[in-house]
Amino acid sequence: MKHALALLLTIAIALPGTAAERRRAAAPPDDSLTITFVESDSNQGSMLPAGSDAWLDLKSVTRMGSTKEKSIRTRHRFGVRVVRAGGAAWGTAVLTAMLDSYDGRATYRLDGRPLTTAPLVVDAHAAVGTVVFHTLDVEVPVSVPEGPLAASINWQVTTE
Amino acid sequence: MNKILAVTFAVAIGSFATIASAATSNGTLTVTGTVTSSIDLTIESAGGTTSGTGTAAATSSLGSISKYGSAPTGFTLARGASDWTLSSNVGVKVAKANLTSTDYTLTAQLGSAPASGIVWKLNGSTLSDSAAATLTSTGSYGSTDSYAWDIVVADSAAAAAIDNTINFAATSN
Repeated sequence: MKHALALLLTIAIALPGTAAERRRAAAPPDDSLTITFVESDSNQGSMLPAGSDAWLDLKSVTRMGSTKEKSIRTRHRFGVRVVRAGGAAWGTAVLTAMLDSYDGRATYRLDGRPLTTAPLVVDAHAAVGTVVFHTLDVEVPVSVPEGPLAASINWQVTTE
Repeated sequence: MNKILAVTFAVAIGSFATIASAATSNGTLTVTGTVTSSIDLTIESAGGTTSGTGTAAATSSLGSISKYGSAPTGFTLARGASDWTLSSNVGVKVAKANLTSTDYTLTAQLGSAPASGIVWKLNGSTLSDSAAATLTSTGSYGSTDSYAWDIVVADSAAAAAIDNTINFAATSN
């Protein structure tokens, strides 16, 4: 028995070409995922998607409503699509978002939930290949002096 | 035999673990914008029958007025030798947002020339349609400041409408 197994292993090692072909044939397809952003028809600000990144420019943020309000709120709706390499649309993934950096002059809420520096599960079962729209609310207190506003939101997609 | 099987099993488990490991990918949404300061002026109160108080465009109706009649709602009437004066107050509130300024200057100007024999006064200053009168240069944000409002009517003034508009302007200091 020991000899028989040793012989089998020897044969396997002695046929590298055949084994390599088998490995190639059995190699799993590239199912890596990427994130893309999709602009919606929102009229507040503009979004410029570029690969896995996007730039949302809120432009001028100024109080337009009642003087009783203690903050200025802007809302932007945009889409996020999880894309699988090769374009196959199957399976789901976990989508998270977190504040990567921000100037502390505003608060951010994604789909009504506050964004912090800790990952927020945006979608535990994001369908790959499907655009899902999300709402980003930016709230600037009226006590904040005028000036630029900046934040970076890191999105991560993880295969389940 | 046992050793060989154990090695084979370990290799199989290792391969499976490699295939099943989670893959991650990242994207970044950069948010930019510019917070712009603003101030907001509202007429909070005025004599007469008002509408639109709490907004920047209020209206006050005095109805028919006469020297020997009754004073309109919210006004007092003082009769002089050759004229008579209707007196009330106008409450003006200026709020600020995203502004470091601590006070403001408030001016007022008539929208059109007053009828002959009619004098409009705010805070003691006679108003005209040609130049703005300064009511205060140290207005406090967020509080309603009250300004004396007088309409002086000469006995010689023709019986006619005295309609006019007072345009307020607040400027942050």
